[in-house]
Amino acid sequence: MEDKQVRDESLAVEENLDNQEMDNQELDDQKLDDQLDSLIEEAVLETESQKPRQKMRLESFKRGAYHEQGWLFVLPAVLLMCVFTFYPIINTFVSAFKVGYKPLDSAYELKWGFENFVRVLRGDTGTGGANFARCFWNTLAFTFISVPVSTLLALLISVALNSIKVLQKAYQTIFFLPYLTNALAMGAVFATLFNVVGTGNTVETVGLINVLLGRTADNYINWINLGSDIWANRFVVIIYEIWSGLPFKILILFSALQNVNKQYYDAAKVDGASKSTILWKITVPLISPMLSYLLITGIMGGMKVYTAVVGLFGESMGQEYEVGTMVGYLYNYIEKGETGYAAAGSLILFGIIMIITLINLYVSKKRVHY
Amino acid sequence: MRISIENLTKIFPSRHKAGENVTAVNDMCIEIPSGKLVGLLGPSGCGKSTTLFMLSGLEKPTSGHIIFEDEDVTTLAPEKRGIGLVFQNYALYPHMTVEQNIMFPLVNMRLPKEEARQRALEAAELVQIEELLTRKPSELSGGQQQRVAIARALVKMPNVLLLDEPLSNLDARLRLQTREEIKRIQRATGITTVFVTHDQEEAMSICDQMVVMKLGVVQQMGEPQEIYDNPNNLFVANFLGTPPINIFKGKVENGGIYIGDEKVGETNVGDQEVFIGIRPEGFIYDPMGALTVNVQNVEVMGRDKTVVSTHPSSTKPTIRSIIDSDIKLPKDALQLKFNIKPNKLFLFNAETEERIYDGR
Amino acid sequence: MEKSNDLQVMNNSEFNLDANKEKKKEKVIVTIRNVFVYIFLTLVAIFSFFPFYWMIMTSLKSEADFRQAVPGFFPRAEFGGFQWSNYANVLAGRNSVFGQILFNTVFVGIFSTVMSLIITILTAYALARMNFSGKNILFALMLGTMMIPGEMFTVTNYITASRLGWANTYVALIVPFLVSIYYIYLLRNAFMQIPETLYKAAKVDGITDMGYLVKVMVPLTAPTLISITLLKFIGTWNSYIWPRLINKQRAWRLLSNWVSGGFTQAGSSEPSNTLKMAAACITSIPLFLLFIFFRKYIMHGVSKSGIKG
Repeated sequence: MEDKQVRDESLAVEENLDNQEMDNQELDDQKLDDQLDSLIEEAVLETESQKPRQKMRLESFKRGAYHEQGWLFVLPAVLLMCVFTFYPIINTFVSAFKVGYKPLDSAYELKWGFENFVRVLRGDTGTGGANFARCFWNTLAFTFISVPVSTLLALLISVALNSIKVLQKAYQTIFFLPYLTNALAMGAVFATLFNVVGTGNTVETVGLINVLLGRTADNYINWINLGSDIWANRFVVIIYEIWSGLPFKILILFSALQNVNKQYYDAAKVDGASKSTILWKITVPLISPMLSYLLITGIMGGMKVYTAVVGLFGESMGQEYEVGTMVGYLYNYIEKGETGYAAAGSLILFGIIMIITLINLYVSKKRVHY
Repeated sequence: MRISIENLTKIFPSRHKAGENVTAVNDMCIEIPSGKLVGLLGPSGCGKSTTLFMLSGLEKPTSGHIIFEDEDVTTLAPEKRGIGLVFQNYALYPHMTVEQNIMFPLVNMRLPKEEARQRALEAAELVQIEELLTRKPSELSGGQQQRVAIARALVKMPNVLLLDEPLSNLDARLRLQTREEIKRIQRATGITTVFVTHDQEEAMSICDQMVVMKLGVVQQMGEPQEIYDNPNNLFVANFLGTPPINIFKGKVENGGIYIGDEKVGETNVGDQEVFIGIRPEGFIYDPMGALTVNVQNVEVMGRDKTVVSTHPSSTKPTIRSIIDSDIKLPKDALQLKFNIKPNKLFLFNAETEERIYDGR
Repeated sequence: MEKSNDLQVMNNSEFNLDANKEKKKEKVIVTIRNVFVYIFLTLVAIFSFFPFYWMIMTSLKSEADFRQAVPGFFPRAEFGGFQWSNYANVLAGRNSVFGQILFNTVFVGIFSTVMSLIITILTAYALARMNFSGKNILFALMLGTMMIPGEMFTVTNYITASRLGWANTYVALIVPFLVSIYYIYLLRNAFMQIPETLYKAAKVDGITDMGYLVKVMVPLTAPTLISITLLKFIGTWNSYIWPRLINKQRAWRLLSNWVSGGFTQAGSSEPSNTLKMAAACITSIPLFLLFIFFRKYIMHGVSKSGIKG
């Protein structure tokens, strides 16, 4: 359902890009369907009187006979998918249960079991580096704070944007700027904003954010540097995630708002509803499918946050993966050649994403108004 | 190009019931004479479009043959048949200009660009759209798009021109104009033309020959007037003519044709139950006439007037009789009497609904 | 408007006075609300834009300027003003892999975009317009994998690519990502919107299936194809982890790997924030340009697919 609406949405977003053509085509499609229907009708009319003579496949009626050369067209994609999509899925499941599996080392003893999962979950992989529990809680903290906040913020921004006429386009463009960025580069920029720089033990600058907060070398907040608090770190990541997550959400919500039938607002006004009543009782329920879509995709994306943290905290995600994320955890083990742990970890990530998707589906079925 | 259709049959599998088949066209045999404008006419679902698509090669017949002049083209690909096809929704390529659209078939034939352009221009002139060549289809009105579609079909100088419901997407005024236009173009080019329509008036007004179809079976073929004057069966009689023919249940007894107790004509067919069809223009007002009807109202159209009436033996709710506007009818009469013109009265078998011809 | 008001005044002056008061009150409320709306939007605009501004300004500061206790919003003249040499230092000198890295990124970007586009078009066409046995199963399988996080593939693909001896090659950067099910799905939907009658018309006009694809389907879905091209290229431009994993040698890596590294001023071992910002600018500017020139197409693709580049 969400999917379809997003696509409907996009028609409004793309403005005049290809609307005209598409309109025509849809019209044509419609006519074609009608034509086809009448053809089928006429066929159906006959069913009663005519004995079946020959069995044919339905598809061949609509599109002509089967063209097995279709396989020729999809062959490159299918071959590549077999090697790089389908095989990895199977292999991940298999190697997650192979204990001590190191395919790039020549010798290992094959043993099956759940040991990989157990060790990953207990943080007992004996290889140092990232810790699963820490990475897990970091990821949850990033996601479950930044996604709701940025969605709510995007909603307020979209409503505000929708209520003005002057400069609307200009604001819209500025808001979309952070969409097309390189996470490593922009992560570095945010790091610079929060960075405390000095030589030896002398602090030279406490960074723009500290200065704006009225902090000096004596009482600065250690956001990201050595010895900083994990929640200070998380705060910086969350700010970055909100900043980079807003554009897409504004884009979707703003066009959703523009598609709301103005009659609802008029009707609500006649019924004497106040502005805030209209917003929370009319507008939000009407665009609730979009909100739920954004929450789902936002959370699913949030579960995979990685590059931004590397941009902010460097390749080791802090000194030793203090700010690590679940994906960072996986890559850590891939790099170390610990495929079993990486596979088990990725299955756990997959499981978490599936659970979140199912919860979301369940909730949105209950809460989303249509 | 003379077209022979021999035992043409098309069977589709049913969409609703798996394993069931439906016959869209059933054992069709007709001969389309060269250089004529022929209309395939019938109600929605009679197989006329399927026939047209089989002629074009887009649909493959289940059995039977299609012969162009002396060549069997049944299995020939569409582009090799030398046909031009105009789609109901025109199917113009939206991303190409009018000129590119018209040139498209020629480009595929690898004609030199200049020659293609020249021929496209000629085709455009023929349908009078030469000033629209640089436009895109979306910038054209429905009528103009129709002309472009015809030009695109004509540009490769086809032996056969096929039109699928060419007028159905046009508004009423444009429809009249375009149907004259199609006639003119067909006359000018002399191309054997087959077109599909469900509008009998449209078909009758421009066709040289007409093929009336019902449920995949050809009912009658011939010149429009000929079919109108001599329908083969009740369906054809009913389908042609506006307002439609009036139909009564009646009988033949001792050479007399009876509706109820009233004798409306004479015949030499044997005694039997019949359907009696009387064209609206077949009524002559006569205070002493043979058929008595109960008047509902009289519609005055200027040139003539229509008496709308009822009769217990009529199979339709009302009977329509068209009479000359000069004829004075008694005011507020509840009943009127008519005599029936013998050539406007047809008898049909009550069971088979086939025409019963007068032995004379 | 005025006149009708006057008329009403004569008829029912008391009511009208009230209405006028209400109107004035409402006007004040609307004005206040508008002021707040614009203040709010302006703050958000500053929030959105400021990191870019800070990146550019920092990249042009001297090291001394950057290290002042109170940072300036411009490169200040007393600390050397605009340091364009930062860019020269990043591009050349000690960090001179840049030329190679840029070539890698552009080469891999163009090559994989073109190949991926061809594969996407062929596959989408077959899925949208051709019938072959097993098509529906294939399509369902493809859609099913869209649910699975890409990281699950990375584990095995790393092993596969290593075993194939692709480490430190372009092949490793191109081949595993040639098929994007998202793009195939996107284009298939666009193809499905083209009416079947056009295909029939083209058949009558004597064109092959391939010719129809190239001459009709592709031009008609140009907006979608442009979106896909852009998103794919941006994807390569921003790809970080895979090159880091598979190509351990810096010379085979891409721009994101380069920008994530440390930058130091000549004769210093301290990481330089200003040089880092210059590198970030260099990485970001092409994306900016793409955004300016292809805003519509990018937004089109983004909103249609709901995915990031």
